[in-house]
Formats: sequence, structure tokens, C-alpha cells
Amino acid sequence: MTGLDGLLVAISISEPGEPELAARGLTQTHLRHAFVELARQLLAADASLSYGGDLRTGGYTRTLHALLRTYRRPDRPAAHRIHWYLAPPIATTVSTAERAELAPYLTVVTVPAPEPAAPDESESVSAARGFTAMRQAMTRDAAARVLLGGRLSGQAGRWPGLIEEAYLARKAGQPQYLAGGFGGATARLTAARTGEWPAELTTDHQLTQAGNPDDYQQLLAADLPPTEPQFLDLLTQPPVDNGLDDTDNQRLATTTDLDEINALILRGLHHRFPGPTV
Amino acid sequence: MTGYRPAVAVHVVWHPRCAVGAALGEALFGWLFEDPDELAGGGLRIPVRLWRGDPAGGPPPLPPYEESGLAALVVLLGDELVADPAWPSWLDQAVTAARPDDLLLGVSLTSAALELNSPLLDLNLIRLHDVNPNRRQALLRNRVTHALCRRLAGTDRPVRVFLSHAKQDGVAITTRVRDYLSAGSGLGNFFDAQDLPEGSRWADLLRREAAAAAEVVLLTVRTDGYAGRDWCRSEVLEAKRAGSPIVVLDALAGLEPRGFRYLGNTPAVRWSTGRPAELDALLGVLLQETLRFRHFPRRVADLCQAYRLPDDPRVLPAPPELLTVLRARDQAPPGGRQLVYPDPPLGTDELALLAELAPDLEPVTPTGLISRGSGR
Repeated sequence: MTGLDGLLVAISISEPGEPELAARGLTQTHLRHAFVELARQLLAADASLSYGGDLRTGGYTRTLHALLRTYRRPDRPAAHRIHWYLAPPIATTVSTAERAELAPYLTVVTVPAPEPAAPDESESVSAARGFTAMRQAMTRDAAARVLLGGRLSGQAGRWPGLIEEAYLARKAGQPQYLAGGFGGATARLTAARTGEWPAELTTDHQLTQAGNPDDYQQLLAADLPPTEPQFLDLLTQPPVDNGLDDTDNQRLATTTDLDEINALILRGLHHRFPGPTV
Repeated sequence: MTGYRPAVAVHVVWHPRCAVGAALGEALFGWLFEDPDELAGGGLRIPVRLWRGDPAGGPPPLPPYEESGLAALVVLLGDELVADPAWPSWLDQAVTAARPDDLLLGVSLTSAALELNSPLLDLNLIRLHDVNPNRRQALLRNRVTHALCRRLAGTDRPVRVFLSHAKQDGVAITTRVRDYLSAGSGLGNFFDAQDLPEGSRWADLLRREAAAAAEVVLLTVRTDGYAGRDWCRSEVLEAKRAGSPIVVLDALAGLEPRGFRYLGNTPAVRWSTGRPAELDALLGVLLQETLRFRHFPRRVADLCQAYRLPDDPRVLPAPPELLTVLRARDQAPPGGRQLVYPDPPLGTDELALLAELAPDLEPVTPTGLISRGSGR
């Protein structure tokens, strides 16, 4: 039997918004199951996983703790198998007591806030750069990334979080698994690959959808990368080999079958990273 | 890969302003697919989509029936839907688009639903509007599961349930349960519930009934005296060896000196007073287990075909255990190593134990089967 031998897989799964879910007959419960089951399957396959959202939401820390017990590896401490990356705005909300409670089974990676790019850097720009720094750290440390769902607007940065994560992963030459069946940012990324550049992935659209247009203008003025042309150029390049053929990738891009999504992701990982026999 | 289509998928529809619609829909998701917070798993993994339309009130898209071999449409007919002029044409289209084998189930949440001018009411209507609200969820689950059981079986033969009990303290409970299953469940003659004659051999019973192992369910009435009876223990062992579904009705009252070693790895329903809600729950579990044993082998076969995998793995509809692994090992085809059981994967400790017992077998779930297979 071949395991994934501690391969670190970054997980980008988040709420795509109610209209996206409703249009597909999906709910928050489907999303929750997708996250829990992917975490489970990765741990059962001997992989490790990293996450950059707030694990405290929805009681995921308790769930992951239980899964770590079930799929424990005698030769690998539990804490080495789940890495929680905290962007500066999130890090300040995690207390010392919480960190102590999590320490036995999570590795908490606190990403330092980047130095201000300008003396008068606004809070919104600092926050956006902080999230970008977190995503860069995750990308640096991971071998692959899974994306599912993801909001299309209202984010702290210039681009929706999952979109930025996909950009950074592609820039690093990292294999990605785009599960587009839940809609949202991931579905737009799969569409972008086919040549249909989604309207949501333009600066103009993001500006109209921004919760605070003034803040968004500051992000644009700070010229935070990527620019729209950089974005377009990189994401329309051929994808990095992720171990799946075109048929499987197309299937992963569209299926809403929760089990098939996970099976295809695992399939790709096993083919792309054939590990030693365990 | 040739394009996987699940054998069956369920589409639940309700009006976006129907307050109970979401709760009933989510309940069906947890029952037929899986509750994400139930980490022991055990879900049937039948895909369930929940369609509630536009929050501004418009109906949802028509469910994609063609994405599964068989589609079951469950429409929750509440006051909001009945009163909304946008919905009658949607209902007509949903009925028209269905294929001959698809299942169409209307569910009345209000008496006003009976006045709807819709072909949906000419088909199978599940009447919940005149049911105690506390029982609605269980009854909806049971009716939908029952309909799926019958459609997947492709036969109108009733499910044979044999009740195994200890005479010293199990008669009264068994009688109550048997009567409910035979006449009080509301499922007509779907169940044929009988006491298992003491001394019966399960294999002989299957032959006499001309039934496949999965078509006959053993319901054990576990009273204090049950585990001490030789025949009760034999019935369990033989039913497990045969690959029949087993459900335990836990009616322990005081002390069971030592539980029977091989009665685990089955669903168990607690008996208290035998009130209707308990019997509804028991019925639900019997139906769910029946559906599991009918659905899972088909699902594995469909996946093997779609992903071009060897189509002769041993299939266990329940997680593997000592007894079932021994049986699988003895019956494995030459060279056949894989033993396919339902997701989620077993934990580290259990897999290590199975590896000791049967190192030549590879227990794998459908997810593992697809992910490890080349199929290219």
C-alpha cells in the first residue's frame, strides 16, 4: 500500500455565497462535509494538511482533533500533521490559552506582519498585505493545493482569497486541484482555464462589489500584486501537472458528488506524488 | 474514465420561505448521505441535493435528473409553495422532465397541498400535514427510504424481517414490534415480519425463502437473556456469515452477564416503552440498513465500470470485522485482494488488526479504490 508519506497539502475551502450554493442544490452542510471528508481522507492517506482560514469557526478544531486520533501515525506527532497559518489580522484574535490548548495537535504558524510599504500605509492595505504574506507562507511550505468554493467579493485584499491562493500556487509551479462543483471562485478559475475570463475576476467588478470602495481604492493605489494583466497572463497558462488527465480534471471541475471530488483529488495526489510503500 | 453516474440521487425541493423546508431537507441529507458531524460515518452516501430556489422567491432550476441512473424528486408542499403562482408550472415541468424510472414524491406539509392542480399529486403523496409535527421528520425519512428500497430492488417482494429473541424475556417486545412492522408501519406489506423459529439455520431459511442474503434482515431483540441463548448466538453468527443485514433492538433492562462477542458493528436502537416515536426510529433503521445492503454493491460496480477498475473486488456493505473478513478471505477470487467497504476509511488501529488477521487482503473504500486505481 502506498501512502502520501507526510505530503503537506494546502486546503482552500470556503463559503462561495448562498446564491452560488442554491443554484447547485448545495448548502453549508455539503460544504462542511466536503471539508471534513477531505481532511479525513488526507489524514487516512498519511498526508498532512494546512489551512489558512479560521478553524475555530464551525468547531473544526474539535473535529480535526478527533480525526487525528483515528488516523494517528506512531512515527509522526499529531501536531506535525495539521498546520494552521494565521494571517496577522487573525493572529491577534487567538489567545495564549487557545494556542496552548491547540499545541498538542496543531502546529500554529503565526505569519509576521510585513513591514509597512509606506509610512502612511492604511489599515486596509496592511491587512491585505498580511493575508498575502500568510498565503505566500502556505504556498512555500505546501506541495500541492486543493481549492473548492470561495467567495467572489467582499474580501480584505485586492482579489478574493482563493483567487490569490491559486495565483500564488501557479506562480510557484505547484499542482492544484480545482473542485469547481461548488461554484464560487474555484468555478471561475476553471472557467478561466477554458478561455472564458469571468467578469468577477476584473478590477472593475471587484470595485463595484467592494464593501468599502474607499478601502479598495487604497489597495489599487498601493499597487498590490498581482495586477490584472499579471493575473490574466499567469492563470491562462497551461496548468501544472497534478497527476490527473484532462478528463479527470474536467470531471473535478464540475462534479458535485462529494465522494467523487475527494476520490479524484486523492487520485491526482497519488499519481503526482507516488510515495514509498508503507 | 467513462463518466461516473451514481446509481441513485435524491433531489429535495422546497419554497425558500418555507420555514421547515430547510430542516426537513437537511434531515434527508444526513439520513441518506451522511451527517458531517457523525465522525464514525455510516452514511449511505446517496447524493442528496437541496433546491430551495431564489431567496427572492423564484423556483429553483430543474434538478439534473440525468446526472444519476435513477433520480428521486421529493417536493415539500408547504403553504408558501401552494400560494406562489410561480410554482405550478415548475411542478409541471419537473414531472414532465422525469424519466420513466424516476421517483416522484410529493410531501404535503399543509392540507392546502391536496388542492393543488398538479400531476405530482396523482403519483406518490406522502401526507405529513395531518401527522404530529414531532413525528414528521422520522416519517418523511422512512417513506423516502422505503420508496428507494423498493425502486432499487426492482421487485415488489416484501423485505423479510426475522425477529430473533429470547423466550424468557423477549416475547412481549417482539410481539409489539412484529405487529407494528406487519400492520402498523404504514408501509403496507413491504415488510413480512416473522419470529425466527428457534433452531432455524439461517442458510436453510434463505434457501426456503429463495432469497439473497441481502434481502433478509435479522432483527435481534437484545434483552438481558438474549446473549445467554445458544440459538440466538448461532442466528447472529450465521446471518453475518451469510452477509445479511442485522439490526439490534437494545432492550437491556438490568444486567447482561456477558455480551455476545459478535453482535457489534450493527446499528442499534434503544427500546424504552415502545411508543410510536421509538417504533418509527426502529423502522427507519431497518429501512436504512436494507437500503445500504442494496445500494452499496451497485455503487461499487458503477464506480469500477466508470473508472475501468477490476470488477471483481469483494464487497462488504458494512465496515469489515473479524467475522466478515474471514468469510471474505475464504471466498476471495484467485488473486483478488481488494475488499471494498463503505467510506470513511478505518482508523490506524483497526487496519493494523485486519492486516494481522488477513495480510493478503487489502481493505479499501470506494474513495481509495478510485484514487489508487490506474484505470487509464
